[in-house]
Parts: sequence; structure tokens; C-alpha cells
Amino acid sequence: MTLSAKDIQVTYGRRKILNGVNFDAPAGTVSVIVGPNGSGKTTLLKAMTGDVPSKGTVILNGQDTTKMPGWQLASQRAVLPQSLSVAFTFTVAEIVRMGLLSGVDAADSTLPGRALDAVGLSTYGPRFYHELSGGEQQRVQMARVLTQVWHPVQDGAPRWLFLDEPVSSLDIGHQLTLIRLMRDYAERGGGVIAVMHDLNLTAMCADRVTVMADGQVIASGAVDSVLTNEVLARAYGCPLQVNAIPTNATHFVLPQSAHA
Amino acid sequence: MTSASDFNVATDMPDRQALAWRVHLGLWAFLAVSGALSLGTGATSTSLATLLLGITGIQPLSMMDQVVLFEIRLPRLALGALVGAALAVSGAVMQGLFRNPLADPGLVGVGAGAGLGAITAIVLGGLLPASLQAMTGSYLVAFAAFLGGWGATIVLYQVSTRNGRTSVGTMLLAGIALGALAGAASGVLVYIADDQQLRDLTFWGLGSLAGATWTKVMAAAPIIILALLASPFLARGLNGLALGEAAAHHMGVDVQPLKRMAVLSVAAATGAAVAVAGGIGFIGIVVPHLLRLATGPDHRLLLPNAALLGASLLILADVISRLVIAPAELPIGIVTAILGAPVFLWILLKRRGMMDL
Repeated sequence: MTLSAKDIQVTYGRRKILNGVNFDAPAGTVSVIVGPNGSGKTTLLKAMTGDVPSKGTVILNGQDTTKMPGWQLASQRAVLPQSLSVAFTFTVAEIVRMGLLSGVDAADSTLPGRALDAVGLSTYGPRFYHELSGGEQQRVQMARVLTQVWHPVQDGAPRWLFLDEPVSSLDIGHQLTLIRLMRDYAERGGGVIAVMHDLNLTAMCADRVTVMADGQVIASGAVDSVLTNEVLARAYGCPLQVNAIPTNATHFVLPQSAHA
Repeated sequence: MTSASDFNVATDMPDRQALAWRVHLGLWAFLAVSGALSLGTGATSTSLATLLLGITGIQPLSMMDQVVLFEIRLPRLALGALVGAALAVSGAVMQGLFRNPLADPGLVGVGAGAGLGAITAIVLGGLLPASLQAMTGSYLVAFAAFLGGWGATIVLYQVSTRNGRTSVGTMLLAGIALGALAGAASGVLVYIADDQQLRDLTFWGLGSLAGATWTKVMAAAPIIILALLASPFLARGLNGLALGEAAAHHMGVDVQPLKRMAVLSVAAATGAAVAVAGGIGFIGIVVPHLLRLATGPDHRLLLPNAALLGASLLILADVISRLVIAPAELPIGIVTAILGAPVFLWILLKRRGMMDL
């Protein structure tokens, strides 16, 4: 079972943002999309979730997503946007419980509590969402998204998390919490597709990396083959040195100069 | 995530739902008290005690008391309850749809649109073929008001909402423009109206339950009750919509049908209310706001509670309108404005920092 996007084209006005991008992600893996600002990585994610009008096809678990009814999509994939404005004074618990709106796991009312626990906010249920910090709000949204597709495999089919910069406003401890959640979800058979900025966290959690620049995929594949000096220099336009932590062979990326 | 079961998981998260249920029961009692007050108040000396004795059969009602009860006060009570519930629920649904607590059919031109529809029906209804007039009867004004409110809501939504986000500033300004346009068109109609129509319009425009008859009740009741019955089906979707259209869609809410149904029910309920009771403001903004403060924004209980509180408050406002300058009556629109406008200003004051004007 895979997610497969073919020939995705997105145009804003006359400007082509994505020009025939292909993207594949197998279930059971964490697939990360990286690239400089404006490279089209968020647009690609939004095209795959139907949040921007696009041409091309997106096949999820063998079905064309544009032909699936909303409830069915919601039962197979959850989407975490980069930012979200919440109207009215909802509590954290009320927001997370909205993850049960799709009705699939509605019978299990323990899920919101477990999801809040998983993102380290088990005592936050009664608090007002709008009074939390940006990072805490992001974790609440992650808990809501997890609630929606809690079991990585349902009726034999994998479920999917689409995450747009899930760790961008988190401190390093909670970045790791979320990275572990993503890994755990994939290892138990679910699919995780994330847009990320941090190359080191990407190297740590990704099974597959897709590097984008100027609306095109310039490299895609396993971490070793994609996170190389050449690819990154081409994508980001600056010299970067990829090394490996000697003890466990995890890659890390260091900028080479503060000067142009 | 696998470690979740190792922790002492808080499955029973404290919430405001239990409180909202208690408030719900309290509101039924409040409605009963308001209703009793309304039945016992009026220009004649027929008191609640007299009516109670009559109903229980202890001391039969006089002919006059019977007329007062069944032909004047009961239809007035029924109309007040219907209109109050319609205005409050319309306000709550519209605020959920626009994701903003300041959206109120009366403020953003929907009421004005409904008013234009009603005035058009009153002034130009006579131009319709006699057979059609006979067929539509008292429903014509209500239906025209519904069409006017519906049109205004659609224009408002198209103008002020982009990519699923509503700009408060655009919404309020578009509301002003719509209101002005509907007002101007209404002015033209008033200009060409004859004397009898002018009398009808004046009475109607001030906003009043004074002319309540069973005919009016029966004209408004089916539309309003239908809209009220639809509202529970909107509640879950409106909750999801609080996170934006995209998020609601991803959570499995059918956003487009939800929006269509919300707009239709707002237009129907507002239109029917405006048609039979004229322009009564602020119920739609004050009632949902008070309830959100007390029990939170979850629409599943907000909507039924708004219906109950809206009905009770409008009935009470009507009692006040009959008492302050008795034996004459103050138009109820004036009472709700005097009580409601300060609350609206208070909301504005509290939200000043959050407005993206």
C-alpha cells in the first residue's frame, strides 16, 4: 500500500509553483520532504491533501483521492497544517475530541486522552486552547490528528499522517517526542509524510527523503543517497557538509561558513 | 505512543458538557417562568391567578378572559417564543459559519435583506394574480422575507470569505453596504406605498409582537420549526468549522453541504422572524455570546440552549415592552436594542485586541 502522486501541477495566477512533480511514499515509512523556502514543498503536500487546486492524480491505498468521499478520506488520513486559527474559546480537550468527528474510532472515547498523553499534554485537557503557546498549540493539533487515525492500520489498510512542519515551533525535547511518534506510527505500519525544515532531524527520522527546489524534485530516495553535499548545495545554494555521527551512523549537516 | 498505556491516562477529561446540560434544564424552567409572566401581563386586568384558576377549573374564565387568553396572549406568547428562538439560533449558526462571534443576521444585512423581501411583498404583493394571492395568503410575506435574507447571506458570504477564512472587517463593511442597499430599495417601496400599506409597514418596521394572531403564528411556525429542527444536524460540522474549512474537511465534515444548509436555515428562520415581528435586534448576538461564556462554544448544546434562552428573553422583553409605558406599548425592537447594544459594545471592548480590522 502506498501513496502515489503523479504529475502534480499547481499554478498560482500565471506562475507555475509545481511543474509535473511525482512523489511516492510506501506505508510503514517516514517520508520527509525538504527544500529551501519557496521550493514548493508545502504546496506539494497541500496538493496531495486537496488543499490547493492542482492537476495530476493522487492515489491513496489504491484509490484516487478526488473520487473518495470526505468521510472515507478522513478515516484513512489526517492532516496537520502548518498553522491553524481556531475560532471561539474551545478547551484543549474539546479540540482534541474533534479528532473523533469522522466517526471511525468514535466508539473509543479514550483516544483523545491517550493522544494528549502521547504529545506530553496529559494535564492540559481543561485549559483554553487560545491561552497556550504556539508550540503547545501545535502539539494539541498533533494530538487531534493522532486521535483521528490512532491505529496505524485499520481493516488491513494503512492510515496516513500528512504533517506540514510538525516540529517547527517546538523546543528540542518536544521535537524529539514528535519525531518518535512519527517513527512509531510508521514502524507499526502507518504512513507518515512530513514537510520539514531541519535537515538533522530529517536525517534522524526519515526513511526516505525528497529534496525540492524551484518547484521540482531534485533528489528522492534513502537518506544516504539523497542527503549529500552535492544535492544540498544545489538545493540550498550554499556549501553544506554532510557527516555521520560515528557511533550510530546518523547523518548530520553543518553549514560551512557564516560569510557569503 | 506505545507508552501511553504505561501512564495514568486521563480518560475522563473535565469538560463543560455536564454544565451545559444543567443549564439546558434550567433554561426550560426559565422559559416556563417567562411564559407564565407573559400570560399574566397585559392591557386588561386578566391576571395570572385568574388564568390559573380558570385552567384548573376552580373558577371558570369569563368570556372576556377567554378571549384575552386564547386570542391575544397565547398567540403573542407563541410568536415571541418562535421569533426569539429563531433569532438566537440564527445568530449562533451564522457565528459558527462565519467563525466569528460578531456575525449576527441583524447586523450584517441579512435582516435588512429579509426586511426588503417583506416590504416588497407587502407593497407589491397586490400586483400578483388574485389566484396566486389566495394561494400564498399570509405565507407570501414570510416567503419573500426568506428569499431576501437568503440572497443577502449568499452575497455576504461570497464577499467576505476567501479560502475558507472570513475577514471580520470585510464582513461588517459588506453588511453595512447590503443594509444600505436594502434600506434604499425599501425606501423606494415605502415611497410608492398607499396609506394602508404605510400603516402596515410602520407597525411592522418598529419590531413588535403586538399584532400577534394565530394566522401569523401559523405562517411563521412551520418555517422556524423546520430551521430549528435542522440545527442539531449542523452542530458537529460547525464545531469542526471552528478550525477552518480545510481542517473541517480533513476531519470528515462535508463542508459544502454544511454551509448550504446553514445559510438556508439562517435565511429561513431570520426571514420568517422578520416577516412576522419586524426588525428585532441583538437577540442573535447577545444570547449565543452569554451561552458561550457560561458553557463554551460546543454547538451541540449551544444551539438548543440558544433556542431556549432566545425564546425566554424575547418573551421577557415583550413583557417589559408592555409594562414600561402601560397601557401603551413600547415597540419590542427598542427594548432589545436598549438591553442588547451595551452588551454588543462590551463584546467589542473585550475583543478589541483580537479584531483583524
